[in-house]
Amino acid sequence: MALAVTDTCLHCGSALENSRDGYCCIGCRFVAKLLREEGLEKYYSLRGPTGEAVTTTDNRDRKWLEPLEEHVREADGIARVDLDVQGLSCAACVWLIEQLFRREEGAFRVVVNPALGTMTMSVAALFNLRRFVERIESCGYLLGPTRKTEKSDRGLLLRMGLCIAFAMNGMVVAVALYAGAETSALGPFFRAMTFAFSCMSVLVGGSWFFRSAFHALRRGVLHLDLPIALGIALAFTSSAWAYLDHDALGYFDPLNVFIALMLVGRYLQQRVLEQNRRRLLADDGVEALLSRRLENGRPALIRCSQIERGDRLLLAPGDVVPVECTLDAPATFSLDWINGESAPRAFHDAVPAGAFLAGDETRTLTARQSFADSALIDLLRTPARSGDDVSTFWQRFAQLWTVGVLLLAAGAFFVGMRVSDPRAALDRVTAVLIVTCPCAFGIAAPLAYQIVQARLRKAGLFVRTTSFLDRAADLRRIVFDKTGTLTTGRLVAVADFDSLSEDARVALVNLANRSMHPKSAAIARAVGQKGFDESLVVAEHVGQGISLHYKGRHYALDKRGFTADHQLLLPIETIEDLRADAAREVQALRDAGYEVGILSGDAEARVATVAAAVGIREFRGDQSPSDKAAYIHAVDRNDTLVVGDGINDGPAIATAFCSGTPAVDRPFIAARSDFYLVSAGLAPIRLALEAARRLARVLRISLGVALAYNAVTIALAYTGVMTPLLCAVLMPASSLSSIVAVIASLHGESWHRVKALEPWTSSTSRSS
Amino acid sequence: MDVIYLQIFVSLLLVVGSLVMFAFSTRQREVDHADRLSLLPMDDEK
Repeated sequence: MALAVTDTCLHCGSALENSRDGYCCIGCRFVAKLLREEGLEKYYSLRGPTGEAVTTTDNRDRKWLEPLEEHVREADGIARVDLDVQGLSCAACVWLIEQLFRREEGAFRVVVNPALGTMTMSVAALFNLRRFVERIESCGYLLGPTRKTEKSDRGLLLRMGLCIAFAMNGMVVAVALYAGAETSALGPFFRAMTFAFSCMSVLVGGSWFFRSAFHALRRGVLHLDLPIALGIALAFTSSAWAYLDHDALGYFDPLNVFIALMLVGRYLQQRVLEQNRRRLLADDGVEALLSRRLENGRPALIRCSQIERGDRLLLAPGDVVPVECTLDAPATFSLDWINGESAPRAFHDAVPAGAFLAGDETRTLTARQSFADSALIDLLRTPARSGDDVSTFWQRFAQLWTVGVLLLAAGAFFVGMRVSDPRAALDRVTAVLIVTCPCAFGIAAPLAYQIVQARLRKAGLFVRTTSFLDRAADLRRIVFDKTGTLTTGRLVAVADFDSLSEDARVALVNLANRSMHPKSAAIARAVGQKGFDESLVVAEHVGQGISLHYKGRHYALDKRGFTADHQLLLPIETIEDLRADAAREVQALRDAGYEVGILSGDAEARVATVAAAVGIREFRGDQSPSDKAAYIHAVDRNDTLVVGDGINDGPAIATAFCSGTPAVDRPFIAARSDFYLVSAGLAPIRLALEAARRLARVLRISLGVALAYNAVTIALAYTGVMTPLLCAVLMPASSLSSIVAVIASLHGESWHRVKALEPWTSSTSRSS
Repeated sequence: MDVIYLQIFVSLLLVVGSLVMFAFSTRQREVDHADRLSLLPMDDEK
């Protein structure tokens, strides 16, 4: 049978660790079934062999939909609805969403933009927006109200295109000049044209680097754009002076090529990071939280920031408690988000902010504080990491390069004055400024980053910050959160379900499938839905369990397990569901020399159980968010990576040198981390660390080659041998050789060693 | 010799024309959803 022989997930194509049914996770199995039932298998042929695991959670809060539904209902004719989409990766995603849209009544037009992660729909009033959103989200995408800012690299793309055109057209004219037209009647005209192209190139492309360098200087940061901007400004000024003073050809042609190449490098560098950032729903922090307040006895949707002490709040199952509240009746809540506890608890009087209602009934609560005093505020206001950060290495490099180039230019002027006249000395200065333009690393380094980021993206790890790959090469310690990070956040029911009679099994199916309690959900996943009867009534006893009368017997699910007429019928144990590759990855990270630990808010005993299961010796339980941050602050010597998923990890993530998260169902933590994962397992983390070290080596080689090239060309410039023609040949040649060296290094033999770690290849098991 | 000036003039017109079209395409954000546009020709289920 096909399922027995496959070693990759039938939906996402990732490597299978413990193949139960050919799928890597529940999400993938569900989506594959849905696509089959809907007749949308063409998705797989459009997408190709590998995709992304469906790791997003169900039961999402969709209160944000209510104003949009009202907008559609009240529309006079066609209504336009803009939504943000998380999880779009390729043309197949676009096709799938368009197909599902067309199947809805009242659907007119949809434009899905995978680059921006947005969707614009034109629909009639009868369009069922909620059902459509639920169907799309059941395929593994997440939808939200449009909040993404219009910060786009469109301007950079336009500048790059224009500057490439200027460089190529300028080159056509320059070739004619180098071939002998310089002394013909057309010579002055052609020189004027190269000057004009260069002016436009500096105006359109150079201004990008001038602005960037200026902003960086104002912030007190020495950005790599500073030597680039300086090189452009000085080379253009000296060439323009030479042209205007004595109608010399100048270095306009190499300068135009240089600006075009620098813009290509910058575009490559920004493109993947921008796409990775846009792929997530926007994070609005506290403003994104909505709640229902009872006003004159009727529920009204409000922003949580509007909640005042004494307000009556209505919570549906799965809703978050926005402020500390008093309960009208006992209820079960999950504290996973705020302290990492894996199992929900019963609360009788008061419940803290950040808890999620875990039962299956709505509850009324009274706010004991206004939202301004809520404990959630501090956790949600953790500052987001800037995506435009610059690593210490590149800052230091830019500093040395700038000073070095200025000293060399001064030296060239001094040498020129000693052996010749001021005009010849200036020509040598121009030549030095042109040949020392940081061409090789301006294009080769961004290309190297782009290749690594794209490869990691394919593995399911999305880098968000510019300097992460630089910092990751220095990491020595990795600290994991437990619930939702080393584990999937779900529980697994362990019991001999086959020993039950048919009636008892049906009773258990009906009990387990009617509760949102994580333990019930674990049992429901184990027993399935066969025998589910909508007419049966289940009673919930907070803190005690749930019960049901079926065929004259009283069945219940409680702490002991499954009972019939108060007699224990089947003891059921629930254990935390470890990520399939967690133990193997922890071992591999330790073998690679990393210290691995666990920092969790859950009870010490539970943490110890998971630590033992994955082979981690260093662990701490019962840690509050501030405890976690204090611990990271104490141990981090710019060598620690924190991987967590809840807002209780926010302070630790903000403190740590590097951070990552597997939680993409809520954008809060992902927006504050250096990277986020969309894979079912943790293997991409190891891939990223290996890739970062590899990248550091490649960059060192690339910089070495650039320095050697510069040493030769500077010697030529000092001796006065450098000409515009020689420069026009050497500069693109050095850039091309750097690019080829980078590509060869990242795709060479040693990169294959890294590639063998990739979770989607069959060699994964061998690598560990 | 005069024909060269004419050729250069026509070439520059072509360059300017292509740059205007490129700018128009960028402003229309076609590059942002090239995935969708690439699928339009094989769209047989409308």
